[in-house]
Amino acid sequence: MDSETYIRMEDIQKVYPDGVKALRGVTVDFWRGEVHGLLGENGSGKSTLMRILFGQIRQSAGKILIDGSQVEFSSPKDAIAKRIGMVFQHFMLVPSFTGLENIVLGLDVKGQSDSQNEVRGQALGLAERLGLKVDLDEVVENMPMGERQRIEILKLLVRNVSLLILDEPTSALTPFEADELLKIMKKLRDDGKTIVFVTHKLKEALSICDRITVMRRGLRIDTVGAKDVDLRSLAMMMVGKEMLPEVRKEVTTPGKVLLEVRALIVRSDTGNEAVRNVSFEVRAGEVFGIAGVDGNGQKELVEAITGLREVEKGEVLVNGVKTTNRPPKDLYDLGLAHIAEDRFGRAIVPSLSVKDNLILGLQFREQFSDGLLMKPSAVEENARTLIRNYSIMATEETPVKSLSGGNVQRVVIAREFSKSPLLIVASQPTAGLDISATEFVRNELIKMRGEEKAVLLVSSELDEVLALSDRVAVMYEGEFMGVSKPEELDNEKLGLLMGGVKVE
Amino acid sequence: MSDILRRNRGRILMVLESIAIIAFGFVISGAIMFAVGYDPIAAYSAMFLGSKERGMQGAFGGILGISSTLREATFIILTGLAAQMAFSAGVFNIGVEGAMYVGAFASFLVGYLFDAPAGSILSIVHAMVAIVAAMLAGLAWTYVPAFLKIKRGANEVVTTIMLNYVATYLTELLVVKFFLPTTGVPPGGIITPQISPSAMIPQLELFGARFNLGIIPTMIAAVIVFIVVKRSVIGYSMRAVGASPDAAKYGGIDVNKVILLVMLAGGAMGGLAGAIDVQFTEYRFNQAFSPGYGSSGIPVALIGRLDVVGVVLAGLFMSALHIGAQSIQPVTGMPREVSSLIEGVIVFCAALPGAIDIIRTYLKRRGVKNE
Repeated sequence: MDSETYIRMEDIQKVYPDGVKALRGVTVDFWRGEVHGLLGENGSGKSTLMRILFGQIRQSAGKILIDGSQVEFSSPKDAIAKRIGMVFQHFMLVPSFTGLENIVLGLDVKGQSDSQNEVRGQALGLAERLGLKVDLDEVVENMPMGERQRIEILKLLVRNVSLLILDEPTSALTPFEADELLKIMKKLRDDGKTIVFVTHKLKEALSICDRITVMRRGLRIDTVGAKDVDLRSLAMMMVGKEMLPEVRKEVTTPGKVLLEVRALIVRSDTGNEAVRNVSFEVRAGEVFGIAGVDGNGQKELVEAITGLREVEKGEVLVNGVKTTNRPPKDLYDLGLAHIAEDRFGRAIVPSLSVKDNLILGLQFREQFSDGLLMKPSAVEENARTLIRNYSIMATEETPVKSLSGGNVQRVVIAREFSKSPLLIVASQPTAGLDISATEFVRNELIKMRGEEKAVLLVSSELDEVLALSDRVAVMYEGEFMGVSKPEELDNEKLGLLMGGVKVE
Repeated sequence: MSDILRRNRGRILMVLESIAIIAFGFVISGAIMFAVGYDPIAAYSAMFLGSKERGMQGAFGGILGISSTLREATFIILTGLAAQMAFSAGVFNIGVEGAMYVGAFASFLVGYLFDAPAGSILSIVHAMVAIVAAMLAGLAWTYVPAFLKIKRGANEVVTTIMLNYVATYLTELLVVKFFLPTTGVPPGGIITPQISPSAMIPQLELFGARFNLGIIPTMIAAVIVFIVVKRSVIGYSMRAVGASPDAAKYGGIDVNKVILLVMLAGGAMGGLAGAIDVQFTEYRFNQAFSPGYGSSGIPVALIGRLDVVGVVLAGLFMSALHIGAQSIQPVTGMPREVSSLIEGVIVFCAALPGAIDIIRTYLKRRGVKNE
């Protein structure tokens, strides 16, 4: 293999306006004609790094060199002009256009029909040579995911791209389609293209890549030849060895089963099976943690349990009552509290006041309405009490959209816990919070466990899941890779499970 | 006092903003009139106060002007309330005009086909039944686009606009087919015979002008909407659905039910507006009775900033502009095109802040959904 450096990203740093350091000085070389794996968990900075290379965002410091000369990108257009292209996890195609129309879209073309025919010929030639099976005249919305992706790739090839960035390309695909894609990637490499394969799937990375760069928390951990490593060492590099913060947990004996999930199958928005035959139960006085890289079905699982997404098959029981496909209101009546992942889009109504948000989901209860009219004084009284008890930095009338992230989460938690729930489903409850807010949320969850509630915790923060949970499941491609006690899991094992490798 | 000011700071700013932009609209219109060679002060004076020499009363310059302003305000306050409810729940129901036509025709049918002895309890019942029939007809008519939106995801803007045409032409067809042969084409256009006296609500004669009592059901409707929006569980649900359907669903709200309710309520109010024309005003179905009351409801709701009190005031304001503009031409000799233009400019400016609010919320809603 030719080991000539094609593109070099040198000491790239990225600080977001809110002060988050996504990249803390990353240097990486991409060689001409290699498949280069970029491996890491959520928040490792791999996507940020690639968006910088594609000109979508600008680095705060550091430079990009192509064949030794520095380039500046102010938009993806510049990157494409320098023959760098990216296929995103969520495809950027116009659903009502045909494959060909999507490819032509944005090309600098003059006469319409002539140039379309010219592009068609070019695209067909490329598709033929590289084994990309596509129907250029089919409308994109009728295509399966794999074909849409091939259109995306073809779109870049027609633009004469020589470095292709594929961001988690297999996550939207069926296993068969994923295999197809890996074959295509090999052909592209043999054709002289350079491919950056962004992934968290260890096996896929090992099977296709020539070299693999592992990232963690905005740093490059190492770049290794794929032949020189095995699954275990990759997993260790990805997850790292970190000190777990001490959380004081009382010893509890799990009681009654408060949540039971039986052979659940749930589809994602795109129609794929996002949750595949998942079964588990959560008991009173227990925290059941679900770990995993985002996008492995956790979101769909939580939505199905909390009444926000249709269950295709299987059953959900809350406190012994069958709640499959029942609306959220019924679930709240049975004692569910849901700390939703999408804080601003779901857990609150941004333009409503703090006091109105503090009763969202409780508006039907006798405490706040007689079924027809609201009881304004009760609503205000409730807000005053919760603002005091949960130290929310706002008045009752403040619109929630003007609150900080930590304060919004306090509003959400105050409200959900005021439902006096039996079962708490907490999805990414500390994402984006500062240290004190994180501590607050974690302690509140542990408090609930002590009060004999059942807690289902879904989080991509590994230390959080391990520290809070009594039992942990790792979710990968819609399935549980296994359920264990946190003390039985070390980082290597977790890393393997999250990367889709079963361990005995 | 200062506490009240502080608590309502947002609302006070909103009112000041609206007043400022309306004033701006008057200034722009004044500049236009000045540019084409007319005296803006004289025109505005004609608009609102009329001119004794020319025998025009403008919007408020005499008892006839006031009664006309109030009559038109009655209709557009109702359609404005319908639009307000829909907008606050994030629904763009443009179909109030159609509901109004269907309602008016239903009111006419009940009023025409039945009769009751004058002055008896039965005559009151008759009038009430005709009003209720109008509201039910408007409601049923709006059920069609509401159903299509909820079950099939059909965009309500498109379906309601199409159904508006169906409603206006369908009622026209019915009049032409069944009533004109008996009445012959009267000079008044495509109109039916009069309804039975027992279904007529008399107009109030005061100082030589006739006042339309439709303002009473309109005010009752406004009070009900006020209570529903501000105090009821449904009002709470409406606001949640309007701001964020995802969050509303999470909050245990049946989003489709809320959408259905606001659309049906709008249809009923449109039907009521129709009954007010037939039973309170013209005492017959006149195919050309509406100069676009239904679509006027949209700027009225926007000028009123989706607030019931605001909508009532905005209805009066828009009605005054419209009635007043009719006095400009006879008094100042300004062509009708120019007076229509300035009316349009003022309405446009006045509706702008409300429109921007709505567009902002709508974009945010989409942002949430597409994520």
